[in-house]
Amino acid sequence: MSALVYVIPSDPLLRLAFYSGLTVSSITLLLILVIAALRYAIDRRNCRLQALRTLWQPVFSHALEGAPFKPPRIRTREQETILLLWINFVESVRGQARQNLQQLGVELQFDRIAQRLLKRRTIRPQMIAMATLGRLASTPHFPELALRADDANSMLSLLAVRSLLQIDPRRGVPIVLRRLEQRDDWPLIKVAAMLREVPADILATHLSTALSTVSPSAAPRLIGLVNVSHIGDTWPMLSPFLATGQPSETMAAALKMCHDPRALDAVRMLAAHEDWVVRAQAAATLGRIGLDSDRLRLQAMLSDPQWWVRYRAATALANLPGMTREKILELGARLDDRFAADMLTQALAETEESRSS
Amino acid sequence: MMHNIVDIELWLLSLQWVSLSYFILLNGGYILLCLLSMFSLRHYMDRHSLDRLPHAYIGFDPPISILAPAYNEEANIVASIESLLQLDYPEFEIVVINDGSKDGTLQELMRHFSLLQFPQAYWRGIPCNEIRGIYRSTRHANLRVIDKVNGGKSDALNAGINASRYPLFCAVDADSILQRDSLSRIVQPFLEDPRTIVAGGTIRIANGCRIGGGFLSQVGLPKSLLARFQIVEYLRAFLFGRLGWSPLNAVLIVSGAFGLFKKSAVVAAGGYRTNTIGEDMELVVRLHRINRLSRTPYRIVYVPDPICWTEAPETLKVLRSQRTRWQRGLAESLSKHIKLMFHPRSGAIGWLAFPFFILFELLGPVVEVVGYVVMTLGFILGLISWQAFETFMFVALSFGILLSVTALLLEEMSFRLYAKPIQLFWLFVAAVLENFGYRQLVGIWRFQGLLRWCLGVKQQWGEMTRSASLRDETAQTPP
Repeated sequence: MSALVYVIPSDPLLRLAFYSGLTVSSITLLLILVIAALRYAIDRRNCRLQALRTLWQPVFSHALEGAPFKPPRIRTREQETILLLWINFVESVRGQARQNLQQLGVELQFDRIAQRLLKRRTIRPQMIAMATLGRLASTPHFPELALRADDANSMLSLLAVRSLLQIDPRRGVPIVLRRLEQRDDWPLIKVAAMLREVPADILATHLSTALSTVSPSAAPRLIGLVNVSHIGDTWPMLSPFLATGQPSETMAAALKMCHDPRALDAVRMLAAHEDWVVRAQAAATLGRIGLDSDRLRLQAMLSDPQWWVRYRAATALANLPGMTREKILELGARLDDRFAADMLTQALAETEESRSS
Repeated sequence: MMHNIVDIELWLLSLQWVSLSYFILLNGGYILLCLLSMFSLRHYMDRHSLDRLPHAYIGFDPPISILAPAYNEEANIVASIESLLQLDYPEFEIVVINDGSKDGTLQELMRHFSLLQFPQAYWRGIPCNEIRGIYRSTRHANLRVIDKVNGGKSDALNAGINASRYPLFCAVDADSILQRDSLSRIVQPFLEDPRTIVAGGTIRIANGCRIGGGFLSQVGLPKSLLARFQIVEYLRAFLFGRLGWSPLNAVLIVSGAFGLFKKSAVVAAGGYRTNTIGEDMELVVRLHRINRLSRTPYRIVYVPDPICWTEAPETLKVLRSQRTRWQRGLAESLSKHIKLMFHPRSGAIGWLAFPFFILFELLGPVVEVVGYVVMTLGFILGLISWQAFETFMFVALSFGILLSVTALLLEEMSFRLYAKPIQLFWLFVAAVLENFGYRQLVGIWRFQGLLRWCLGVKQQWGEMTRSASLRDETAQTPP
């Protein structure tokens, strides 16, 4: 005590500084104890998780093959881990094996566990719960998940959407497409990945309806979903967006998706569009669906002021039907524009490279 | 005479209190940042708990161009590129930019990867030095090499951006080691939020770790105390220096060693500036400025997963050169975009991050060095009492130790890479010891860097003496 009194400064300001230093040092010591305790707790938790995996993996493996296996009791604190392990198993299999696992989930009343987890305030249990309900194809939970698709948190809303599509794609797809128009925070890539799992005929029907009523601002996003699945004839869906008067962004998105020869006339018109992004996409589309008669048009585009239009035109030329290496070299030799000739040489090399690989 | 001594005493006393208040403010700021990081880290770990599920979003990952600028990297370039070629990602290309190396970098690449000249109509979207040739590998369809006239790292990166084919590019240091799944991890923010234009990865220190097959196979601690100090420093810098700013969309630094960029955004901003030493930071600050002022929605985020490993200097000379360079880069980047500070449209960047960086990161070393010198001189000259000196040192050191220990806590809460208890113990030791001399030394070097910037001293490509601690144990010695 006397030693402590000796170091405590007498000056009030110094004393204040001293006490703040002392507080900080105490917090540091406390943190060191917290870290040590955390390490101990995490190590114990990991051991417990490992034991749980060892216990449950054979259960799920047997269920995959439809073999009976008496499952162990599920304790409350183990619920999240077991559900996560089950989700992992379900995600890695298809067909009958998946159905067997779903059946096991129903028998073990995973839907009731998920229902309880959904009520938690933290995000992780809610995420696990939604993923579980989707993989269980739990129809009674469809309305609740539809409500959750409106969650402000994009991660949660997307998980709800995926589960909706897994439970009932026929009812789920229109919900997703309707919301996609308003949800700028939903990455198109993720939505596309989810919709790819949906039967093509269901997607085609609803996408077609959605595209017929879509607002101009949301059109490019919806158009981006056209080639997600092999949905057959896409021309009726895309043709309205290639008409004059559409915003450039919409036209470029539609051109990107276009593989139908019926689009040729519209594409040829757009090859002269004032916006270079549209011109570049038109050139690329001509590379996919163009004819020998498009050669002159593409040749002219080799002198476009925009590098990307020149590049797409050169690649398209190299891929046109009837274009041989000799013909391309001959064409390159005839060109007065050095940049156009260079671009054609590059396109030829790239085409040959991709064909050889 | 007596009057003068009283004046000096009063002046010293005021300075002493200014320094002390600054220390408390600085560390208080960092502690707030740390709390924000804890929240952010917890949120991140929760959000990504379902990420690693199979069949999640396979087939929708956007293709990536990896840009690896190289200057006199003859000794390591082949191993580095071999390692990059093994990355686990559906579609990527590697563009190596030989920035006029004076050694046999290009010859090594040509020999090992069977390069052939490729007739590319080079797109000069961003101005850069003359391109001497573009080569493609006949062994790896996704490898191209650009040979250009020397122009510095920024110029090399600009040349790489022009030649890249994909919408996202990843700038890497040719001497860093990436985790096999690093691209899949760093691309996540781009998949989650279409507004993302930059994602910065976490850099960790590879000294003491075991390397095999071009990748890091076992995490370890280096023998050198200097490298251990830097491990604690990196934990501090990344786990709360950057993670704390990320939720506010106010990350100002994305390491040049590993960052993923949306090409169109960088090209629209004019690419990397060639007249700055801290090109990586300057680009990020510029992207903030352009997007904030034009009210374009965007995100610049930080990914806390440890995905890139780099070698830390183990000699004071190299470390000093690195730190002076970093401080100069910081000064250049902040000064070039000073108009962003307190701009009405600048949001958290201009009202929080910018003042924080100027007050604490830029001017911190000045106050720190002046504070220590004045306190020590005052004490030696008998103008400051032992108690005042003692209290000052006690407060300063205890805050420093607290911050280092907090970084260890964050690491323990998240990735726990240093799994053995003994490693944790040595990190504790380093976290405490670094406050006795190391931090002060780094403060002096940063002060020197600031002085050099003020004086306009020129600096070139940062040369790094390799300690060979990163030797790949499975690599064969060339004949």
